[in-house]
Amino acid sequence: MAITVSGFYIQNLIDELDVTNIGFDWTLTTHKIALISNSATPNFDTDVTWNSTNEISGTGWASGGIALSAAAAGGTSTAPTLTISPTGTIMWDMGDVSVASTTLTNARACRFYADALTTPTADALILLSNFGADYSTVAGTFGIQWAATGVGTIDGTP
Amino acid sequence: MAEQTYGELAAERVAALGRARLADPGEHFPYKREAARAAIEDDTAPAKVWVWDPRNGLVPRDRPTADFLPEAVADATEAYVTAQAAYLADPGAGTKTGYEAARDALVAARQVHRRGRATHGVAADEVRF
Repeated sequence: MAITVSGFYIQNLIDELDVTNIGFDWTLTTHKIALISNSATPNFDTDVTWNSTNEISGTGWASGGIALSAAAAGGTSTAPTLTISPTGTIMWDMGDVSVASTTLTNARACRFYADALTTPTADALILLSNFGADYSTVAGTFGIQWAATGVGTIDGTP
Repeated sequence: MAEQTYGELAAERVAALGRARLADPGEHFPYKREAARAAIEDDTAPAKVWVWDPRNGLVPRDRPTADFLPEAVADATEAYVTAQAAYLADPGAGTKTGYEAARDALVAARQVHRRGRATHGVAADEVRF
Protein backbone atom coordinates (compact mmCIF):
# COMPACT_ATOMS: atom_id res chain seq x y z
CA MET A 1 0.00 0.00 0.00
CA ALA A 2 1.89 3.02 -1.23
CA ILE A 3 2.07 5.69 -3.85
CA THR A 4 5.08 5.14 -6.06
CA VAL A 5 4.45 7.04 -9.29
CA SER A 6 2.50 9.93 -10.78
CA GLY A 7 0.17 9.40 -13.70
CA PHE A 8 -2.93 10.10 -15.71
CA TYR A 9 -6.05 8.02 -15.15
CA ILE A 10 -6.12 6.17 -18.44
CA GLN A 11 -9.65 4.78 -18.48
CA ASN A 12 -11.13 8.27 -18.30
CA LEU A 13 -8.97 9.39 -21.20
CA ILE A 14 -10.33 6.51 -23.26
CA ASP A 15 -13.87 7.33 -22.17
CA GLU A 16 -13.42 10.88 -23.39
CA LEU A 17 -12.29 9.75 -26.81
CA ASP A 18 -14.77 6.94 -27.46
CA VAL A 19 -18.55 6.56 -27.51
CA THR A 20 -18.73 7.23 -23.76
CA ASN A 21 -17.72 10.87 -24.36
CA ILE A 22 -17.65 11.82 -20.68
CA GLY A 23 -17.21 15.56 -21.27
CA PHE A 24 -13.63 16.11 -20.18
CA ASP A 25 -12.30 19.65 -20.59
CA TRP A 26 -9.04 19.90 -18.68
CA THR A 27 -9.12 23.68 -18.69
CA LEU A 28 -12.20 23.83 -16.46
CA THR A 29 -11.46 25.49 -13.14
CA THR A 30 -14.29 23.73 -11.35
CA HIS A 31 -11.92 20.78 -11.32
CA LYS A 32 -10.62 20.13 -7.83
CA ILE A 33 -7.26 19.24 -6.34
CA ALA A 34 -7.51 16.86 -3.40
CA LEU A 35 -4.79 15.43 -1.18
CA ILE A 36 -4.22 11.78 -0.36
CA SER A 37 -2.04 9.80 2.02
CA ASN A 38 0.55 7.16 1.28
CA SER A 39 -1.91 4.51 2.46
CA ALA A 40 -3.46 4.62 -0.98
CA THR A 41 -2.53 2.34 -3.86
CA PRO A 42 -3.56 4.02 -7.11
CA ASN A 43 -4.53 1.97 -10.14
CA PHE A 44 -4.23 4.24 -13.16
CA ASP A 45 -5.93 1.71 -15.44
CA THR A 46 -9.05 1.07 -13.38
CA ASP A 47 -9.61 3.99 -10.97
CA VAL A 48 -12.15 6.33 -12.57
CA THR A 49 -14.01 8.21 -9.83
CA TRP A 50 -12.63 10.30 -6.99
CA ASN A 51 -13.57 9.16 -3.49
CA SER A 52 -12.51 10.18 -0.01
CA THR A 53 -10.70 6.99 0.94
CA ASN A 54 -7.27 7.91 2.36
CA GLU A 55 -8.00 11.58 1.76
CA ILE A 56 -6.00 14.22 3.65
CA SER A 57 -8.05 17.26 4.63
CA GLY A 58 -8.05 19.69 7.52
CA THR A 59 -8.28 23.34 8.46
CA GLY A 60 -8.21 25.46 5.32
CA TRP A 61 -8.39 22.45 3.03
CA ALA A 62 -11.87 20.94 3.00
CA SER A 63 -12.71 17.34 2.25
CA GLY A 64 -13.13 17.03 -1.50
CA GLY A 65 -10.32 19.48 -2.13
CA ILE A 66 -9.94 22.99 -3.51
CA ALA A 67 -11.35 24.21 -6.82
CA LEU A 68 -8.68 25.22 -9.31
CA SER A 69 -10.44 28.59 -9.60
CA ALA A 70 -9.24 29.35 -6.06
CA ALA A 71 -6.10 27.26 -5.51
CA ALA A 72 -3.46 29.85 -6.42
CA ALA A 73 -2.08 32.65 -4.23
CA GLY A 74 -4.73 35.10 -3.09
CA GLY A 75 -7.51 32.62 -3.79
CA THR A 76 -7.06 33.11 -7.54
CA SER A 77 -7.24 30.65 -10.40
CA THR A 78 -4.44 28.27 -11.31
CA ALA A 79 -5.73 28.63 -14.90
CA PRO A 80 -4.96 25.18 -16.32
CA THR A 81 -3.68 25.01 -19.88
CA LEU A 82 -3.18 22.35 -22.53
CA THR A 83 -0.39 22.90 -25.02
CA ILE A 84 2.19 21.16 -27.16
CA SER A 85 5.41 21.05 -25.19
CA PRO A 86 7.82 19.70 -26.20
CA THR A 87 7.08 18.81 -29.83
CA GLY A 88 4.73 15.87 -30.18
CA THR A 89 3.72 15.99 -26.52
CA ILE A 90 0.59 17.21 -24.78
CA MET A 91 1.46 19.22 -21.66
CA TRP A 92 -1.16 19.82 -19.00
CA ASP A 93 -0.02 22.69 -16.82
CA MET A 94 -1.29 25.29 -14.40
CA GLY A 95 -0.12 27.97 -12.01
CA ASP A 96 1.48 26.95 -8.74
CA VAL A 97 -0.82 25.94 -5.91
CA SER A 98 -0.70 28.15 -2.81
CA VAL A 99 -3.41 27.76 -0.20
CA ALA A 100 -2.95 29.79 2.99
CA SER A 101 -3.88 29.03 6.60
CA THR A 102 -3.98 25.26 6.36
CA THR A 103 -3.34 22.58 8.93
CA LEU A 104 -2.69 19.28 7.21
CA THR A 105 -0.86 16.12 8.14
CA ASN A 106 1.10 13.79 5.90
CA ALA A 107 -0.08 14.60 2.41
CA ARG A 108 1.78 12.30 0.02
CA ALA A 109 0.13 13.14 -3.30
CA CYS A 110 -2.61 15.16 -4.91
CA ARG A 111 -5.31 14.05 -7.27
CA PHE A 112 -7.18 16.18 -9.77
CA TYR A 113 -10.75 15.32 -10.67
CA ALA A 114 -13.69 16.76 -12.59
CA ASP A 115 -15.99 17.86 -9.82
CA ALA A 116 -18.59 19.19 -12.28
CA LEU A 117 -19.18 15.86 -13.99
CA THR A 118 -21.97 13.62 -12.75
CA THR A 119 -22.72 11.18 -15.58
CA PRO A 120 -21.67 8.85 -17.10
CA THR A 121 -18.67 9.19 -14.76
CA ALA A 122 -19.06 11.29 -11.65
CA ASP A 123 -15.99 13.11 -10.32
CA ALA A 124 -13.83 11.66 -13.08
CA LEU A 125 -10.18 11.40 -12.06
CA ILE A 126 -7.61 13.19 -14.22
CA LEU A 127 -4.15 12.84 -12.72
CA LEU A 128 -2.26 11.94 -9.55
CA SER A 129 0.96 13.79 -8.69
CA ASN A 130 3.25 11.97 -6.28
CA PHE A 131 5.12 14.28 -3.88
CA GLY A 132 7.63 11.54 -2.99
CA ALA A 133 7.40 12.30 0.74
CA ASP A 134 4.80 13.26 3.34
CA TYR A 135 4.21 16.98 3.86
CA SER A 136 2.38 18.75 6.66
CA THR A 137 1.37 22.25 7.66
CA VAL A 138 0.32 23.89 10.92
CA ALA A 139 -1.61 27.11 10.30
CA GLY A 140 0.50 27.69 7.22
CA THR A 141 0.52 27.72 3.45
CA PHE A 142 0.35 24.49 1.53
CA GLY A 143 1.96 25.06 -1.83
CA ILE A 144 3.00 23.07 -4.85
CA GLN A 145 5.55 24.46 -7.29
CA TRP A 146 5.21 22.68 -10.61
CA ALA A 147 8.22 21.90 -12.74
CA ALA A 148 8.88 23.83 -15.96
CA THR A 149 7.75 20.71 -17.80
CA GLY A 150 4.23 21.12 -16.40
CA VAL A 151 1.92 19.10 -14.19
CA GLY A 152 1.86 16.15 -16.58
CA THR A 153 2.63 15.23 -20.16
CA ILE A 154 1.46 12.63 -22.67
CA ASP A 155 4.03 11.78 -25.31
CA GLY A 156 2.21 11.23 -28.61
CA THR A 157 5.37 10.50 -30.56
CA PRO A 158 7.47 8.19 -28.38
CA MET B 1 -38.82 18.01 -36.23
CA ALA B 2 -36.00 17.56 -38.67
CA GLU B 3 -33.23 15.32 -37.44
CA GLN B 4 -29.93 16.99 -36.83
CA THR B 5 -26.61 15.57 -37.88
CA TYR B 6 -23.94 14.54 -35.42
CA GLY B 7 -21.87 17.55 -36.50
CA GLU B 8 -24.72 19.98 -35.90
CA LEU B 9 -25.43 18.56 -32.48
CA ALA B 10 -21.74 18.61 -31.57
CA ALA B 11 -21.54 22.31 -32.48
CA GLU B 12 -24.64 23.08 -30.41
CA ARG B 13 -23.19 21.15 -27.51
CA VAL B 14 -19.91 23.07 -27.61
CA ALA B 15 -21.73 26.41 -27.73
CA ALA B 16 -24.02 25.43 -24.86
CA LEU B 17 -21.11 24.24 -22.74
CA GLY B 18 -19.31 27.52 -23.37
CA ARG B 19 -22.31 29.53 -22.24
CA ALA B 20 -22.74 27.33 -19.16
CA ARG B 21 -19.09 27.71 -18.26
CA LEU B 22 -19.20 31.49 -18.52
CA ALA B 23 -22.29 31.58 -16.29
CA ASP B 24 -20.83 29.22 -13.67
CA PRO B 25 -19.95 31.19 -10.51
CA GLY B 26 -17.48 28.46 -9.59
CA GLU B 27 -15.40 29.19 -12.68
CA HIS B 28 -12.54 31.72 -12.88
CA PHE B 29 -14.26 34.49 -14.87
CA PRO B 30 -13.15 37.24 -14.55
CA TYR B 31 -9.65 36.59 -13.24
CA LYS B 32 -9.17 38.07 -9.76
CA ARG B 33 -6.20 40.22 -10.76
CA GLU B 34 -6.52 42.56 -7.79
CA ALA B 35 -6.48 39.64 -5.35
CA ALA B 36 -3.36 38.32 -7.05
CA ARG B 37 -1.71 41.74 -6.88
CA ALA B 38 -2.58 42.10 -3.19
CA ALA B 39 -1.27 38.64 -2.35
CA ILE B 40 2.04 39.38 -4.06
CA GLU B 41 2.48 42.87 -2.62
CA ASP B 42 1.36 41.99 0.89
CA ASP B 43 3.08 38.60 0.79
CA THR B 44 0.10 37.27 2.68
CA ALA B 45 0.88 33.63 2.07
CA PRO B 46 4.60 33.08 2.32
CA ALA B 47 5.66 29.48 2.39
CA LYS B 48 8.64 27.28 2.79
CA VAL B 49 10.08 25.35 -0.10
CA TRP B 50 12.09 22.20 0.38
CA VAL B 51 15.62 22.41 -0.93
CA TRP B 52 18.17 19.61 -1.10
CA ASP B 53 21.11 20.17 1.24
CA PRO B 54 24.03 17.73 0.90
CA ARG B 55 24.54 17.65 4.67
CA ASN B 56 20.97 17.66 5.91
CA GLY B 57 18.87 16.31 3.06
CA LEU B 58 15.65 18.16 2.30
CA VAL B 59 15.49 21.37 4.31
CA PRO B 60 12.91 24.17 4.26
CA ARG B 61 13.65 27.64 2.89
CA ASP B 62 11.31 30.60 3.25
CA ARG B 63 9.94 31.76 -0.09
CA PRO B 64 7.70 34.74 -0.80
CA THR B 65 4.30 34.56 -2.49
CA ALA B 66 5.90 35.92 -5.66
CA ASP B 67 7.86 32.70 -5.92
CA PHE B 68 4.52 30.96 -6.50
CA LEU B 69 2.79 33.74 -8.45
CA PRO B 70 5.08 36.38 -9.95
CA GLU B 71 3.56 39.53 -11.47
CA ALA B 72 4.40 38.41 -15.00
CA VAL B 73 2.47 35.18 -14.57
CA ALA B 74 -0.47 37.01 -12.97
CA ASP B 75 -0.57 39.42 -15.93
CA ALA B 76 -0.42 36.56 -18.43
CA THR B 77 -3.09 34.66 -16.51
CA GLU B 78 -5.43 37.63 -16.67
CA ALA B 79 -4.93 37.90 -20.43
CA TYR B 80 -5.47 34.14 -20.83
CA VAL B 81 -8.69 34.10 -18.82
CA THR B 82 -9.99 37.12 -20.74
CA ALA B 83 -9.21 35.52 -24.10
CA GLN B 84 -10.73 32.24 -22.97
CA ALA B 85 -13.95 34.03 -22.04
CA ALA B 86 -14.03 35.74 -25.45
CA TYR B 87 -13.74 32.39 -27.20
CA LEU B 88 -16.39 30.75 -25.05
CA ALA B 89 -18.77 33.63 -25.70
CA ASP B 90 -18.17 33.63 -29.46
CA PRO B 91 -16.38 30.52 -30.72
CA GLY B 92 -14.71 31.20 -34.04
CA ALA B 93 -11.41 31.47 -35.82
CA GLY B 94 -10.69 34.98 -34.57
CA THR B 95 -11.34 34.34 -30.91
CA LYS B 96 -9.57 30.99 -31.12
CA THR B 97 -6.43 32.64 -32.45
CA GLY B 98 -6.53 35.15 -29.61
CA TYR B 99 -7.12 32.41 -27.06
CA GLU B 100 -4.23 30.31 -28.32
CA ALA B 101 -1.87 33.28 -28.37
CA ALA B 102 -2.77 34.19 -24.79
CA ARG B 103 -2.40 30.57 -23.72
CA ASP B 104 1.02 30.26 -25.30
CA ALA B 105 2.11 33.52 -23.68
CA LEU B 106 0.99 32.24 -20.28
CA VAL B 107 2.79 28.94 -20.70
CA ALA B 108 5.95 30.80 -21.76
CA ALA B 109 5.72 33.13 -18.74
CA ARG B 110 5.42 30.17 -16.40
CA GLN B 111 8.38 28.42 -17.98
CA VAL B 112 10.60 31.50 -17.78
CA HIS B 113 9.75 31.82 -14.08
CA ARG B 114 10.20 28.16 -13.27
CA ARG B 115 13.45 27.76 -15.13
CA GLY B 116 14.78 30.73 -13.21
CA ARG B 117 14.12 29.35 -9.78
CA ALA B 118 16.14 26.74 -8.03
CA THR B 119 13.37 24.59 -6.66
CA HIS B 120 10.15 22.87 -7.39
CA GLY B 121 8.11 20.50 -5.32
CA VAL B 122 5.84 20.72 -2.35
CA ALA B 123 5.98 23.55 0.13
CA ALA B 124 4.80 23.16 3.66
CA ASP B 125 5.11 25.42 6.65
CA GLU B 126 6.22 22.88 9.16
CA VAL B 127 8.88 20.25 9.01
CA ARG B 128 8.27 16.96 10.76
CA PHE B 129 11.36 14.80 10.94
